[in-house]
Amino acid sequence: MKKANIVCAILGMAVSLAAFIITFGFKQFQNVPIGPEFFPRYLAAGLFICSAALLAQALRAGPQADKPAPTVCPRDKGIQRLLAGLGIITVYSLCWESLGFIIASPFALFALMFLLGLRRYALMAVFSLGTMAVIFGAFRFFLGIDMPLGILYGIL
Amino acid sequence: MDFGFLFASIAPVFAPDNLFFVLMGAFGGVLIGSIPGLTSTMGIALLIPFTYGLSIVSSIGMLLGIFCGAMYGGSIASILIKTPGTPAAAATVLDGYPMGQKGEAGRALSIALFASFAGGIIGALLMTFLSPFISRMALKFGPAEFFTLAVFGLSVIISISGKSLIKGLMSGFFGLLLATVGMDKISGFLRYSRLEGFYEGIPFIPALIGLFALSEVYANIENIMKSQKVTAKISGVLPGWQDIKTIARAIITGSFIGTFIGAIPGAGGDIAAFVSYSEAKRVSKHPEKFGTGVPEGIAAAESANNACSGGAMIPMLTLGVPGDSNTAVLVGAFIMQGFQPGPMMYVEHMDIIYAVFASMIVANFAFLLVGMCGVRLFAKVISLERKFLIPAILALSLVGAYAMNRNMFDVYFALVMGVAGYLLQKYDFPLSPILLALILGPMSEANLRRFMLIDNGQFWRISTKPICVVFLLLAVGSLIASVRNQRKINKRIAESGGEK
Repeated sequence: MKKANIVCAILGMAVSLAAFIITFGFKQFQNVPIGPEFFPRYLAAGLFICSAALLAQALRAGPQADKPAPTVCPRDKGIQRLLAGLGIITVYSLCWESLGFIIASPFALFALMFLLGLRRYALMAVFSLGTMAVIFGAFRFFLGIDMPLGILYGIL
Repeated sequence: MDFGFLFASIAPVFAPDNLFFVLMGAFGGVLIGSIPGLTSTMGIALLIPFTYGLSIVSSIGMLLGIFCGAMYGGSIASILIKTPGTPAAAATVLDGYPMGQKGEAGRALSIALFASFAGGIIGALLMTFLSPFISRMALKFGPAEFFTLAVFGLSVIISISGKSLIKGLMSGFFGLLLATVGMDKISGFLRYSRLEGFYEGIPFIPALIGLFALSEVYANIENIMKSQKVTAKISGVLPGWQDIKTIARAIITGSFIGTFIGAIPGAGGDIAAFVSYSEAKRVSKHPEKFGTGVPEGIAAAESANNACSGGAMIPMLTLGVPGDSNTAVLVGAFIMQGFQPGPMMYVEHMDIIYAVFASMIVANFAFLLVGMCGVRLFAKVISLERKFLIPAILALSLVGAYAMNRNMFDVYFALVMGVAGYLLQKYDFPLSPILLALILGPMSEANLRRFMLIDNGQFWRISTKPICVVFLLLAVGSLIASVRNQRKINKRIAESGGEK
């Protein structure tokens, strides 16, 4: 975890430094005691100090206090599954506007269940369609919220 | 007091048709509250057109049913799927979800129900008897007072920081920095991003859904092979006597905190719940157990956010100033029925005021009934096989993110926040401070700058305002107590061999 904390601290410092530097590009207003840059600048400084403290803490920590950090290595089976899942979810959400929620959802839900290891295809199909129908029905008809219909726009 | 007039005023509230409308409202409220992305404000706004043909007592009763029901409903999703159904239920996640994961979802739901009911009733009673006094106090709040209230709220971050204080503070600063993205409310300048979706600032509901629900979906996809099926034990629909004894103190304190904070216009149930949670942890004999699924944590958060409903009604009824977005919509319902909330209502329509007080209490009983009937059903959700549950949560979360503004940008933003939440959680960065910072950041910045504008940049003048001094002292006290608590927790963890 020591190495992970060092990386997190450096990332925190980089984010805070970037946020701090960007504030110098914010517009200045006359006769205004504190402008739009005031708060972000102090917050960036606060984040930097905390990140530096984490870095110092991580560097001082002895090897006996160290515990293994969770992995984000793409060779790990779990991470591979997560990346595949993120791919399905991204494609699914991108399809909302073109295909619409009704068409995209059953396929995406089915694919996710398959990815999670389910192989009961009939049940998976029924569950995907059922979940889509319940969510669509509740939001569209019960709550009156316009759902993305995609190519079904004008039909439903 | 004219008791004859009082009873004549509240009698219509107990008419069968009116009770039916309140019950329907409570049912709808619980349902709306339990769906991430849908808020009680949205529920009330959606149902207002349906109340047009009803009498004032029935229509207000139904809307109060939604208001109170949704406040409780938010806890259901918090406990079962780690996603606050409403922002006010964000603090319930901290102990509700871990308790559910221990196989005690039924117990967590019943504690949330009982605490919500008790908090709602105490809040309604305080509203009935103390409204003139509390509203006078709330009226004294200006930008400086709001700023110090936000500072006090932010001092809670330490007590919800989890294992590492530094990481909790980093999360808090990150959240505060995130809250500055978008259009500056005072100057109109776009900060950090020119994307249209950020014009109004960070979309809060999608951020909440991403951080809590989607991050959990991602973590579950990664660890699905290691996860075990959780079965919910349900011994009763209400908590046992032992649990009630344990949570009584947290409920009473939480209810007072909730009513007071709710009465301050602009401060809602989300802030009240976190402050109450922090207070319960501070006074607890075993603060190290908070965050692992303790009943007091759930009770403190739930009693405070439900008591807030009563508190928020106080400035609305006495001054005509809505305490939060829900009461702002309720004002519209009153006006639609031909009544203008405010001081004159106490003179001209005291019968309506009494009816509102009674409806508020009835609404709390109504959601108790709905909750008691639903506890077993809700708890079944967690017993579903994860391989089915996760895709369903994903679809519901994305629709929840979309529903607020009917905007695809919010969906994409929720997905990104989900990845951020997943990574942060993986490396022990707590997510609740980010949420608290997103709630309190805009409030603290806008009010600090307003105060500085009014007082020509003389920040020291904040020390001349008694309410500000009280809040700042409370914040310092809370910080000191939280740091001491954290040390105590670390010591106990070290003594028990490093395991929490």
